Amino acid sequence: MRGLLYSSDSSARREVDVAVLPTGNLQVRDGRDVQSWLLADLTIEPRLAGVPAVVMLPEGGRLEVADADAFYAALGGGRMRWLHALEEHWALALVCAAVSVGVVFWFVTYGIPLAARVAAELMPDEVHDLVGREGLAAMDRYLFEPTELAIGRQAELQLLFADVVSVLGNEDEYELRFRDSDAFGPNAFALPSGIVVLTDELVALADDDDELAAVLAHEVGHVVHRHAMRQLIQNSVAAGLIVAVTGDLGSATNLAAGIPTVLLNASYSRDFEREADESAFLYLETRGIDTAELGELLVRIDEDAGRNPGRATLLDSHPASRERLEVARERRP
Amino acid sequence: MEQLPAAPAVPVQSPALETMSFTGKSGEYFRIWIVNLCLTVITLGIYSPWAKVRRNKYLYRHSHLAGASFDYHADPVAILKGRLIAVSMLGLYLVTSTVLPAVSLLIGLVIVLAVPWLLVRSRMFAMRNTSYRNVRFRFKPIYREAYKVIIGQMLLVIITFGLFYPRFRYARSRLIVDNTAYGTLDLKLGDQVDASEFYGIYLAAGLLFLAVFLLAGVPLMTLGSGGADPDTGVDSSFVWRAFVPTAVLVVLYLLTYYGLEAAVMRLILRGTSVGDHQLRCDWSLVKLTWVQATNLVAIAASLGLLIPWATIRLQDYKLSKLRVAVQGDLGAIAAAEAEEVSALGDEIGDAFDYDFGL
Repeated sequence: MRGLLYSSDSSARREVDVAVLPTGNLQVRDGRDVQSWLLADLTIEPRLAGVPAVVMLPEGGRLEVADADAFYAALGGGRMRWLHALEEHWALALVCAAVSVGVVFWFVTYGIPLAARVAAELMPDEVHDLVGREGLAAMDRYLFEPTELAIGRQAELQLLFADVVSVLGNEDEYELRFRDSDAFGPNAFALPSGIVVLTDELVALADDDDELAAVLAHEVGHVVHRHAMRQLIQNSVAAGLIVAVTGDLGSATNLAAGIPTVLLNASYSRDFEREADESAFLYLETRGIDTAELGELLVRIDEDAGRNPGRATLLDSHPASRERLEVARERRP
Repeated sequence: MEQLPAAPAVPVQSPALETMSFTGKSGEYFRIWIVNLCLTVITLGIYSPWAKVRRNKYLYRHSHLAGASFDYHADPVAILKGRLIAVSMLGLYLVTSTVLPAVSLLIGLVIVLAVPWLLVRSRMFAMRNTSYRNVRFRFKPIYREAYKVIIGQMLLVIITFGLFYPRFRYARSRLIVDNTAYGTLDLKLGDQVDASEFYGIYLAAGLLFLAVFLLAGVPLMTLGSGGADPDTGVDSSFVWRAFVPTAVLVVLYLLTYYGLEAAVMRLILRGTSVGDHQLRCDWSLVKLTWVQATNLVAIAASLGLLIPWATIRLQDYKLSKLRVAVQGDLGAIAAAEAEEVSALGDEIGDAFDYDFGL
């Protein structure tokens, strides 16, 4: 076999004859000058399609053999021959494509949510409390004003909340806070520490307390299932995963990588909303209230958002309210 | 061979023009890419450094100059270690940014202060692991200059509301080129390349962006400003008004970005010499922008499956228009003393997606 022998200390090279001897030696001959190494002392690079075989010599030299077929055949395949074999066949490449898509799909649909649920359960209460407290403090600084609800009305709603917790709650602590927020408008949400926030605007928008009970039950559902913390973990893991996969791919694809992240996060939060809706239905059914109460308030929040399009609404990532109203109506006995 | 421009004062003999070439094939590279992606996925990412080395070896070994090829030598284990550190720092940053914004601010500051160090480390690692004719490239450990240029000039950029940016870009490019070496030959960005040419490119890109936006973008946006559909009550012009300007702006921005980056790279490559060997770059900015923009469309439309094809296509065009005016013998360049560099800087740079380009 013809080969090119590169010097270890300069860019010089010369043409040589290469032979793999039955004694387990690699012999390189340039006219009368013969060099020989034990194969075990050499770094024979794994085979790569379309390029010469590459051997790194112990003293820093380099040998290239253009006829890679013959060279690797003489070696009996060489190190990591399975990799080159995999890379040679279109059928195997297609299998790899299918496996990659399948594993990624499974991991994203089940793996990440499962890991997030386990992690949220195992996380000490102190962490949940800290995240909830810090989160509310930050929102108080930028988004919220103190509530303007009358003390009596607040007490009524606290009683309602206590009733919801008595039906749905577990051993955790729950707390209802009132806030006025023009930025959020009519809204309610749950923080990891068991704090549920209800805005004055939502209290004003509701026709009766059954509707508010439905919303509170929905939020307590979020707390029971630790959705806020799970969402936090899932989104972080998904972002990290996308960085890990695309980190290699080059900056041109980063733009394209942002889209799946957004879609993924929206899809996760839709699942959580459905789960919280189930909690709300459970409460409403226990108390013999029409399950449609939840859906009707949701539709009204949507209409309000339509009138104030500039308002950020937490419902942006929720399943379509109309669809949820349909589900709520179907649940009627 | 093409007629050479008037020879400089000293030359002993006229240089031989060598064109670079790329022999990678998209089918072959696709199979390598997908097999290694699959191994990465089923090992939950652990294999990813091996995949990166494998892909780079393919791309480098298929890049030729004067009958010899380049090669990539990074140790996957070193990359894995760096990547683990990078990922845990990213995780720490993500978690603290939601839980304790004050601490994440501190981490952010540390990261910003580490950028010049990371730049130097990542260049050292990348160059150390690149070879041509069995001689390695090198980047010098010039931490002090890196801090002066990156932090110092970045502050000037902020103070001048970005007006200083082309000058900063020039200084960074000079820092990178002038401190790179191939064996014992130093790379040098010619003195004729100065900040004014960078200002020229940024100004031209800005004016072009504005002109196209005014001539094509604005008329597009004023189309479809009708009222609500009388039957459905849906005001489709709202969708139109919200969507079209965004889409026009994104497309314009991308095209300008690709064109500008190509112009900067071409300017740097044209000005660079390796010892006595002068680089020549004949990229057409329009063609290169077209290749990159259509690559992006193909990648998005194929959900990433065409990434290998796009990579090969881009590399093919870039190398086919790159030449080296070789002065004397490429086979007589001495190697420099070897030194080991860890992959830490390289991979942390990857994870935070800092652009360590020229």
